[in-house]
Amino acid sequence: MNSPRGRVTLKDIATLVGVHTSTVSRVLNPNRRTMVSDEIAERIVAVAEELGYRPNPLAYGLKTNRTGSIGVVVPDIVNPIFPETVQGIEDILIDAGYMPFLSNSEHKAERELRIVENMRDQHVDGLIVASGSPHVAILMACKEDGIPLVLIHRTWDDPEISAVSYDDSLGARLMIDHLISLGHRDIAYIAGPLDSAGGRDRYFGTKDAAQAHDIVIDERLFAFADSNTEEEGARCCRELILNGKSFSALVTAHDSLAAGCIGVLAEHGLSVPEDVSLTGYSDTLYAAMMTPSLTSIRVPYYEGGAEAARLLIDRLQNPDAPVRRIRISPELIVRESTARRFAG
Amino acid sequence: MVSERVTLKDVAERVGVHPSTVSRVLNPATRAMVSPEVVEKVTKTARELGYRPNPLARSLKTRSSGIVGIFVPDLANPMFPEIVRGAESILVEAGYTPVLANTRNDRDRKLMLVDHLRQRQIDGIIIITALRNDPVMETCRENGIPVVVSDRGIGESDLPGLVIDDDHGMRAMVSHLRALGHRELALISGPQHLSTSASRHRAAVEALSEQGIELLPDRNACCADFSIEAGRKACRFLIENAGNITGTLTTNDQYAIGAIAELYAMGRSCPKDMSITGYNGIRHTQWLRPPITTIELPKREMGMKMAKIMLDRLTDPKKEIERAIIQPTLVVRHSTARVF
Repeated sequence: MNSPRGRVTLKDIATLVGVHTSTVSRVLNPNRRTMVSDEIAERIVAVAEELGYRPNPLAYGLKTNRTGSIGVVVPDIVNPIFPETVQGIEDILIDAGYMPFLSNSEHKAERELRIVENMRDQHVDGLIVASGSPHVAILMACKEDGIPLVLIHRTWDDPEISAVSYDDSLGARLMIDHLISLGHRDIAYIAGPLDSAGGRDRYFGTKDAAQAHDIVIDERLFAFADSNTEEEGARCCRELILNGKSFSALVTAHDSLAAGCIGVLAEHGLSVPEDVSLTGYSDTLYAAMMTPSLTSIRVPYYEGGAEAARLLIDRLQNPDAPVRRIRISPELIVRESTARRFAG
Repeated sequence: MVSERVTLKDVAERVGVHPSTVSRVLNPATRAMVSPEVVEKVTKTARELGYRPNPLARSLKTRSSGIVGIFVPDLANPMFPEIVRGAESILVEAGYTPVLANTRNDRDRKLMLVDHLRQRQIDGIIIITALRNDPVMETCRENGIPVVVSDRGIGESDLPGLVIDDDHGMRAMVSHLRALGHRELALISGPQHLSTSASRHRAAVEALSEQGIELLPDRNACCADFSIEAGRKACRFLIENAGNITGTLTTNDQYAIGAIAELYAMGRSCPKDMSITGYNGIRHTQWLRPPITTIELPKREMGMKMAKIMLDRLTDPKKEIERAIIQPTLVVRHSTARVF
């Protein structure tokens, strides 16, 4: 069908379907579609498509203060957990007719703030911020402008902010329980950055879980990584070996840290799992590909992202929707890198 | 705190310049027209006064939003985040807002995303794609949106962007394997309807032929996607069908990772029973066991280069189209060894 000359307007569609212009407007706005019956909505969408109708979201944005864009801020797209989170967010948003505006802050508070400023300037309808340590200024800015915000990866003390987080203390406990059931008691630990919620919760969770089994981890068996990277894992592993206190299990706060350990252990004549059981966290795609394959904690990042998007859509469609905080449980995935401790 | 909206004029008055100068400074495309001292004064004052342009009104008027889109086929492939980071660093520094679009190689999603950004008066799009005719490019062409593309083979396109010298990369890899005594070689490559896969496949076949090695049909495994799983299957196929191969080339690190895992699952090991090579140089190749011999692409530099080409186009649309040639390098690790 040839498209008619001139821009197709809401009115053209309304006339053809035989409804009021405002009904068409409601149907074509994902926030308000629920106010119209399914049957009429379907007819309007079909006619709009037929005529090649395209809303002008800028003019539309100035008038209704709605643009259909959702700002999504992640701290580090290189860490594989964030691409997974982003996919969950995108799938739900796009299905509901919203467009994700994705930005990467590189863990820099200054840049995170600038991104959020930019997104406010672009009049996004809402924000999803995935960050281990969100800038307080962001939370304030969103409040000031009344932009609905959902945090993911951590919660905030403010009871007015919806959040999706993961139960990292539980994950840490599942891993320690697993190792203890295999007879390990000399357990070393490489912690992730303690200024992120995940790094902190896993660290304290590990200590608490060990204590529950009457094990106090010697301080020479702790090392602290500045980032969740293989390089830092290798550095920390070297440090632990140099400390001179022997261990039969090495627990790490991230798969990438564990990946960095294998080579260093091998350099010192230690093989996994015969001499040392090694564990990761997050169960990234590469955990299963390592040799030996890595025992890890699976965190449903995709589901978490999807959940955050659902929370935000709820808020957009109903500003009075209650604030919700969802905490997702991880699970233990046992592979080849952990084994029973040999007697003697 | 002042509750009234700070205007362009307020900023201009405070600095002592004309409002149009302030406007130029705040638009990244025209910023270079103003002296660096004035730029600094204006941006500082604008920040102090809390001036925030209304980009929606601005976009309607100037048809510019300060947004540059970066389209990636799949953020979960570790290759792409590194490229994106390089591009972002240049764009952010120049005052643009990079917006990522993770297309998952889904045609509908691409069209929706590009349409939405077009309506927001996006300034330009950097497209990282393996498709010869990406629908995003068509939309951009129709709407006069500047594009910069990655990953074209030599002579395949006249769009501004990058050309990766895969002939050089594959030649370096085949020479390396030949020097280790390998002659019985197989190839795992990607979907042949995609530009990068087809050009790498061709480059590999030619590099082998230059060394007097003909790639036999049962030693030529093509995968349907770029996953690790596809690499596993291809490796199994080769072991079951290809006879006594001593080495396998791949066109993508994921395939190499999958192939090594499958070899191990079949009770053999790399490189003792088979040398396996990657391509792209994602960071995992350095850390997996064995660390993987691969062809490394300078991912961060590729992103930076694409962003620079984009900035050039935005400041001077008449400037000659630039196509930068990217030279990959051979990185020898432990997944390749001498034939016994």
